[in-house]
Amino acid sequence: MATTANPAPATPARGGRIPRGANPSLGRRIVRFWPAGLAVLLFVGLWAVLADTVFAGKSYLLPGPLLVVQTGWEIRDSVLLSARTTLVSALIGYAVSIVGGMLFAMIMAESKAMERSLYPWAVILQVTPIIAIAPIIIIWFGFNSTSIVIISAAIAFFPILNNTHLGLVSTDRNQVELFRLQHVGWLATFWHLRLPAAIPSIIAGLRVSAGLAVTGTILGEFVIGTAGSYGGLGVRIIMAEAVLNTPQLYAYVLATTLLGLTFFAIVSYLGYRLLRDWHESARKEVAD
Amino acid sequence: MEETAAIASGLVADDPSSGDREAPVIVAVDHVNKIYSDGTHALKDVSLAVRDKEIVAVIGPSGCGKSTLLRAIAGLTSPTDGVCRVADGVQPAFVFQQPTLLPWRTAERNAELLLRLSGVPRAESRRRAHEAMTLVNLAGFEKAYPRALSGGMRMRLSLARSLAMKPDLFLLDEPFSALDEITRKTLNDELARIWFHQPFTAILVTHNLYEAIFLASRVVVMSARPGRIQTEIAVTLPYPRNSDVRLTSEYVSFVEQLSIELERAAA
Repeated sequence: MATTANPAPATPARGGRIPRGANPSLGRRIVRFWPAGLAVLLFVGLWAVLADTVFAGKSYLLPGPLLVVQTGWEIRDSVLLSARTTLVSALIGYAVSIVGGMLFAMIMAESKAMERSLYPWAVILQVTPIIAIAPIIIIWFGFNSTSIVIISAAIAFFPILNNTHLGLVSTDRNQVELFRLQHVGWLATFWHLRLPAAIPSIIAGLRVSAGLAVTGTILGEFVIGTAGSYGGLGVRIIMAEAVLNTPQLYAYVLATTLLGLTFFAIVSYLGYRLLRDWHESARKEVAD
Repeated sequence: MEETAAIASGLVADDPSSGDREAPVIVAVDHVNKIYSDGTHALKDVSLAVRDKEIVAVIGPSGCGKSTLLRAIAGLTSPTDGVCRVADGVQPAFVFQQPTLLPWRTAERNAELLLRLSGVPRAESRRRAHEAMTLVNLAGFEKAYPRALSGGMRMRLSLARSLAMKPDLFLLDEPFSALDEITRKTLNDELARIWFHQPFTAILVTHNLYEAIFLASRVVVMSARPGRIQTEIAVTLPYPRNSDVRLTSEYVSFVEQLSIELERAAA
């Protein structure tokens, strides 16, 4: 038993990682992902058929997938430039929401009084449509990228706050007592127990907010416009719509989706790396 | 040690059946009452003295306050009145019903956790953690994460974490109650073996009479609502105890005796 679970520690492996043999082969991967692949193929196929039949000659209503990709390629310089603008705003907005959300979550987790006085405001921020307070943000900060970043951060803020807070107040009671019996101080208890115990929950929040940071940036760009620079994908979408260039519109939307997906995928992967050794959510199906 | 005895002696009410009357008192519980804010009378006038290297089992129907008693001794809850005192310089280790491992730490890093938290240097912590893991038959699983361990192995690791501290006093709160009967017996055997090689004082809260008789030198029977000490049985089975003890007629008669007392306590 001992030998199967843990090979001789001649070369100390970094903390019980999944052995290489457990990596699924290409065949296994195909078996696992073919339903998802099939769904994508069906969707794109249906889209192409619809565009060629019902919407034939009406590409201003529904351009086919091939046309969208072709158009995207033709305007690739614009797509890349605007995607970069959106990316930078989304990254800064995401970072601000992470720092702010986690900071407020920690304060609220520390003191019931703070929780009672701060949490309602967080909920108010969450339920008030940001688009409605965008004019206020613009009045305060002007038609510039700062306003875009603030809108992005405001939208991404709540899931991080909520999940971090939930994680920090859900520490197992016995574990807390274990530390208490050892007379461990506040900081060490936070660092060695409450923060690591909250990580799965924090990651759940980070994943939701990754997409929201991109969405929020696009929204900000809708409201604020070019903000002096070339303008992000949100600006391009509005402009394509204004001239009814639907294939371009679709190309920019596609780029936005890809950007959001990439964001989400990177955060998910980093979260998985952090959790894969110990958390049930990141458990690999290993055939025994 | 003199200090210990002096502090505790004033608190000891009576100690009728302890094996070694000369050994210093490690835990003194003196006329303790515990009434929770909802009015539950969890402990009523409970007095108990536990001497050095004794294993005292506390057994009783559920709701008899046995866990409350242990938590009061550990300082996790304070008595409404009366005193729970642990002798000066005695380092207690609490073992929970659940293994209470930190799932993000490997087995060895769990085993060394309490040492690290109390400031023992890394290398020494690691060495003592490995020693303790060997003691509970977990050598070879140092790099495994808790989720990869079986229920019995997790409980062993939980014991190893406490053993690594080399505590003078073990407070065991139904540590094997979540395990299957076979694993429980194995761990009982191991605990008896470890105690024989590296004796410690222990208070074992349990609702399993076989376990109580097998491990303890004294069994305290509590009755419920309000929880108070009904009677006490001195288990005079010889040490070292191993699984063969369970086959002796003495063991069986102790189990019978305890069973009768328990029924009376529940009535």
